[in-house]
Order: sequence, then C-alpha cells, then structure tokens
Amino acid sequence: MANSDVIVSDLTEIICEENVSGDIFNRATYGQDAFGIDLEKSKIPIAVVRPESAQEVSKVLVYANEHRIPVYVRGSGTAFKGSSRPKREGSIILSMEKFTSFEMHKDDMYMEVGAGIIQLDLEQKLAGYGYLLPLNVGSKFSGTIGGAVAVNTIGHMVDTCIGKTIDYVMGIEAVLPTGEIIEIGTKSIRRPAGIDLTRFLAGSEGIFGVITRIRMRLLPDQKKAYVVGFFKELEDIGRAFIRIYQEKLPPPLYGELLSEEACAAPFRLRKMGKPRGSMALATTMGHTQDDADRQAEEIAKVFRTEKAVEAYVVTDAKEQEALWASRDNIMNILGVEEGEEKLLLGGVLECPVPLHALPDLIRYFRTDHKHSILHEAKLFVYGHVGAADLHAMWGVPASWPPEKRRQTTIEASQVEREVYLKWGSTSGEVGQTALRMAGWREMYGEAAYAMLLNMKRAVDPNGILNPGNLLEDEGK
Amino acid sequence: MSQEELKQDILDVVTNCVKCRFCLAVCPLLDITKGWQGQGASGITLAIYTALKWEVEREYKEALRDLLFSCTTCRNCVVRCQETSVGVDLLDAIDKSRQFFVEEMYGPMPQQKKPLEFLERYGNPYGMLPSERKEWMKGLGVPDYSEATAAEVLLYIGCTATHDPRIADVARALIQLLKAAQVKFGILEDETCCACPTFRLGEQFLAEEIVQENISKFKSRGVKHIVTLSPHCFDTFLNNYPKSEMQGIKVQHYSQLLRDLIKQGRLVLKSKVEKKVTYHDPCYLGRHNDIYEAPREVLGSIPGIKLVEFNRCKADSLCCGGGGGRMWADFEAEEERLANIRVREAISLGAEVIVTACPFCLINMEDGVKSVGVEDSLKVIDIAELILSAIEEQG
Repeated sequence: MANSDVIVSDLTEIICEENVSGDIFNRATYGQDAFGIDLEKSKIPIAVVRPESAQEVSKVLVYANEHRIPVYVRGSGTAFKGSSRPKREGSIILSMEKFTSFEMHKDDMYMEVGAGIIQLDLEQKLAGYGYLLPLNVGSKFSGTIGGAVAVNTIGHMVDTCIGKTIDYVMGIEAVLPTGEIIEIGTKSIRRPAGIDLTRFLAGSEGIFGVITRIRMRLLPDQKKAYVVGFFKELEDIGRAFIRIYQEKLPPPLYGELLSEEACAAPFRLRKMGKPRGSMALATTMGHTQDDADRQAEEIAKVFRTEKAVEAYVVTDAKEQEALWASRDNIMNILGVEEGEEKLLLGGVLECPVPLHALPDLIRYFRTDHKHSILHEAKLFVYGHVGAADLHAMWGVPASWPPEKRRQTTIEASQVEREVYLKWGSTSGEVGQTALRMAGWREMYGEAAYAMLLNMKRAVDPNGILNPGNLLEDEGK
Repeated sequence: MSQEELKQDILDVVTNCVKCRFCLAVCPLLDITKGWQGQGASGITLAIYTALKWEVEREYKEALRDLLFSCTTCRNCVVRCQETSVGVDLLDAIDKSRQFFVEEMYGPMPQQKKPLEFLERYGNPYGMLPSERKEWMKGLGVPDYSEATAAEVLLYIGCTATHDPRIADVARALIQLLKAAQVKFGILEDETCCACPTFRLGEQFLAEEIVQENISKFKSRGVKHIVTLSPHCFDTFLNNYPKSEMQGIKVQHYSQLLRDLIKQGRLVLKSKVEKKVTYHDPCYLGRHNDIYEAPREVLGSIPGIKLVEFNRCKADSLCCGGGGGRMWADFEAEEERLANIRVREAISLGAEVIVTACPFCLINMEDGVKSVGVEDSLKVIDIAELILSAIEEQG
C-alpha cells in the first residue's frame, strides 16, 4: 500500500483537488459516526474525498482496488451501528455530500435525485409539489436519501400503510466496487417482474456498490388527521395497536409511542406541562378530510377501549406540532432541567417483534432482561408501535466512569440480539451489518452467511468497499 | 480554574454530543468555506475533542486555532441542538476552548492580538486615546452620568460608535430620540469597553479586570438602568458579568427602550416611511437573548412601512459574520462573506432597506451592499435612524 501522503496526492490527480482532504480534523470528523463509542485512533482514515459524479466515484474505486485501499462510503454518518465508520486502518472515506441533484418528472410519477441530498431538503422540495417523502427518519436533518435507500428505512412511518423505501425505488445508478457504472431499474411505474437488480442495491448497506443516483416513485400527499392518547400503562398502547390490526382498520401512516419518562423532557422543552401518562400518537391519511377524520375517530375509540385515560383527535395545529415534535425530536429526552444530573446516551436499540408480542417486549425492556448495568441506568421506551418496532434508550449519569457507560452500550446490543432470537425478528430500521452482523450470522446460520459473503466476493473481489461490515475479510 | 480543569470541562461538554450532525445544516461557516463538515459547528468541537483526547493539540495547533477562532458564535448550533437533539451547548465548549488555547499561547488569531493589546492599554479595542474617544459627541450636550445630574438611564455607547463615523451617526440618532422622548439620561465620559472582545477571544484575566472596573463605575455612580447601543455590550452585561454584582441594575438594548417609549406615547411616529424593509436579527440580540419582537414592534409602529421577513429570520437568522471576535480577523479558508449572502437574500425579497440594530451588523451589511454592487437599490439603516426619520416632520 502506498503511504498516506502519496495516496492523498494521487487522489487530487483523480478528482478535483478541493474535494480531497488529508486534514487531521476533517479525517477525524468524517471517520466518526453516531455509534456511541469513539473510533480508535488507528482507524482514522487517511483521506476524505467528495466526488461529484459517478465517473469520479469510479476512478476512486479503481484506484483503491489497484492499491488495495479500504473505502468507506458515507452519507452523513448518522448510523447507530457503526456501518459508516472505518474498520480497517489506512482507509479512504467517500462522502456522497456533493450528489445533491433533484429532477422532478411528475408526469411520469417519479423523481430522480442525487444520493447525497438531505432528507429534510427533499421533503420540503416535494411538499412544494404536493408530494410526500415516503420516509420520516429521526435523523432527517442531516441524513441523506442515499443512506435511507441503502438501509431501506422509513423511520417513523408505517410499512403496512405505505410500503417501504425499497418499494418506491424504480431505478438506481451505482458504481460497483471494481469501478463499473451501472444503471438499473425502469422508468415505468410498473415494477420489473422477475430479476430486479435495484433490490440488490437498495437495502444492501453499501456492500455491493455505491449508489449515486436514485429514481423514486412519487407519493401524492393526502389529507391527514391526528390522534393522541395518554395511557397509565405503556403496555396498553401495544394492545391498542394490536387491536387496530385485529379490527382490520386501515393502518395509520404514523403510529408512535413514548413512555411517560420519555415524554417528560420534550414536554418541558415545549412548555406542555407534565405528560398525563405514556403517549400514543397516530396520523391517518385519506383522500378527503372526512375520510382521514373518520379513521382518526376510530383509532381514538380503540385507544379508549384499551384503557386510555384520555384520547382525542387533535385539531389545534400548534398542539399537534408540539406533540409530534416531542416524538420526532426524541433526543430531547436527554435534555435536563437545572439541578438534574446530566444524562448521557448509554445504549440504544431497535427491536421489531411479531405484533402479539408488543406488550411482552415492553416488559422485557423494563424488567425481564438480565443485564445488571442496564437496570441501573434510566430507561426510555419509544418508537414505531404501529409498525411493531420499538426502541429502548438507556441514559446514564454523566458521573458514571466511561467504562461503565461503554458497558451499557454493549449490554444494550446484547438485549437487542436476545429479542431478535427470542421473537424471530430483525432490524426494521437501522440495518443488519457492522455491529449487528454477528447476531445476523447467529440467527440465520452459516449457510446464509456464506451466501452473503460469496455474493459480496463476486462483486468486490478485493474486498475494498466497506470492509469489516460483514465481519470477516471480504476479499477472495 | 486550572488548565486541567478547563480541559476536563471542555471534554465533558463535547462528550455529550451524539454526532447526529443536525447542527451542520445551520452553521453559517459551511456557507462560506468549502463546506467540509470539519469546518463548522460540531465539526469544530469534535476537532477540539479529538485534539485534547489524543493530546495532539500542540502538533496541530495552527489548524486548530484557525478552526476555533473562525466560529461566529452565532449560537445557531446550540438552538438546533436544543430543539432537535440532546441540547449540547457547543458554544460553551468553544468559549472554554478559546480560554484554554489562549492560556496555552496558541490563540487567538494573529490579527486579534492587537485589539487585545489596545484593550489592555487604552480600554478599547481600536487603540483610541481617552480624549479621542470623546470626539464624536462634541456639541451634543449629553451630560456625564451621575445621580447628581438626575439621570435615570445610563446610555452605554460602546467602543464602535466612538471609533467608526457611521456608527457615531447611529448613536447621534439615538441621542436625538431620547431627547425627543424627554428621557433623563447620561453617558460615562470615562466609558471603556464592556469586555465583550476579551470574553469572545478567550482573554479571561483581562476580561475579569475590565468587568471589575466597570462594576465599580456603575456602583459609585448609582447606576440603576443601562441601555446599550450594541447587542454585544447588552449580552456581555447580562450574561458575562456576575449576576450578584449586577443585581438591581436593569439592562436593556435600545430597541427595547424605543419600544417602551413608543408604547408610552413619548415618541410619536407621525411621518410616513413608505419603504419595503427587511429586518436582520443580530445574533446577540436574537439567539443569545431571545429578543425578536421588540425591534419588530418598533418597526411595526412606523406609518407606511412594509416589513418583509428574510426566509431565515428570528432564531434561524443568518449571522452577518461579525461575532466572536471576527471583526478583527480574516480567515484563509473563507471564500465568501456572510453579509454578501444576506444582501443577496434581501435583494431577492425585493427589499429597499435592510434594517438592523447592531453596529457590527450595520458595518458588515454596508460592506456587503458595496461588495455585491447594489448601492443604488439597497440601503442599510439602523432602527434608531429609521425611527428618527419617522418622528421628524417631513418638509
């Protein structure tokens, strides 16, 4: 492998000089992602590049193959499980931030966007045309659409209502690990039958190639109505959403819960007083307002049936905005009041389960798991109850020693793995690779793991693209 | 506080950052540099964290200094983090890091050393002798503040008005307004700096000396009510002076006093100002102190005026680039000026006037108007000047 200075210098020959950085602080910043444990010093990348075209991405990958340099693709680095951080020494970070093109083809019901466009920007652009971005991810303030497609996440939206990100992907331009540029998919709203290679890239977590441009079907925005319910028992919110499905009601666009503890700080921040219990939120969608309102009333009724102390359709726009912001900006829960001890993020996990198990999952988070340090930390439960996918977050006092905090992070990952094995589910939002790969391997077995590794080796013979995310040396 | 304690304090703040990067989209530095994520908001604090944690601060001291002192201290990152994330006070980490690096002799920027020397020697960052400092107010007949002169309000002019003729015009306009409203006010003939630049540039020891001198002046003259021309002095008195020492002294920015005077009917705005104006929120009035409405209420009381808001206004307002000690430094990494961007935004709104309420914003915006080449279609006016034109009879 060439030395660092030579690599940085070579890269400036390949792509525009101003888009190559060997600066220590840029490298450290781009090397870190949102996973709670600091990147090891030895894994700081040797360069960050910001290509502006698929051709430039291709050149970087060809160069990396030639010199066997690991390349880590990065949208905005909001991944919680370490997928965008380097696992090998001497790597290049390939940031997609310059891919921000946006083309609207509304007559053909699609848009074409650069992979690096920020989700919030895209959401606002689409709103201007009367379309809805079919995903609402907590990190939308910085997360890119390429990241959401690569992980196939829709965040705070309900799959059973609108489908998942992958269902909107009509076409993809990508660069294979060996540098070839491919364009796959269709321009028709009719999806390809049989082999559809877009499905190998959307949701691939960057294992099979670098997504540079995406063609996505448009989702016309509809009228909406909003329901809130407050419950004495958090488990009752789980039961309420089970009932929504049992009664064959149209699944809401958005169905979220926050435990009473998780509501406290966001409510205080928005001057809403003390929460009247744990909170359930639902957004319904209809072609007419009457339709949306009727669905909302039915959900409010279900909430009351399942022992909500209060449930109603929210009609005041300010109240609606504040309640939904309390959920959407969930990191607020680590905010403090004067006099309280500052809590730091200890561990966070994401666990989908079969619908019937929602109340059991909540009990597992609260009492049934056997991890002693987690039981000492402060637990907040929140998440996508409408999609049967909940989060638990453990906040730890700032006075805890760093090692104990680190242990909280590890124990949270262990609880996540236990839940997947216990209930036969897997990540529905954050992805499967990197930190989660060992659990994936355990769950699906060696034959499935070998299949994945062989597929990877077929397209990335030198194992240069995001190596380490599948655990083993991906090269042949 | 020892250097070791300061270092631990910085690490404690930055450790709270969850690296969500939500702050980057609102950091103005990314608008004027090449936009590397390491060049703004949490990119800067992560750089500090990295350097201190791995103890490489000496090895990369110049790069670190340039990053650290480039921050405008506009506070947009803090507001974004409070609203959407865990509420880390990144600016607290930046302030403390500046103190730390100044003590280690790595900072501030070379150009920022001169104003600090001037402050130590002359009590102002512009190097004016005390006699020069009084030049601008000749013939105005403003008394020295003391209880004996029966003044109720201490008008704190600030250093920039005494140095820059354009800001002296603003100060004169404000004095005319106070006289018209029959406010009993005085100034400190021996006024010196409020200490804002020393706090922003991390010169803690000098800052504390200046603060003590000013507090004794206020106490010895029985000051009960200070009105400042600059939001920077306003913020410094409110947020950097010891609360216990300032107890019993009301501190206002002049836009708040003007609002009160208009409400009380002591200033009557009778002349129409038929202009389309936009109001630029100064960071140290808005995001630092939540004062968004007083200046708008003042503007709203001018007959004939049409106020159009910037897309980025109030808590989202774009910094002019003058905060955080940046009036005294240029940064190699910057390719554009924030004020130029703001001027283009005003033009796209069809505004004829940018109104502001801060000396630094005014200076930067006027430079921006010249730099963008729109002197014929866009003016920059301080809110006091606008009010003065509305109380004067048109002839």
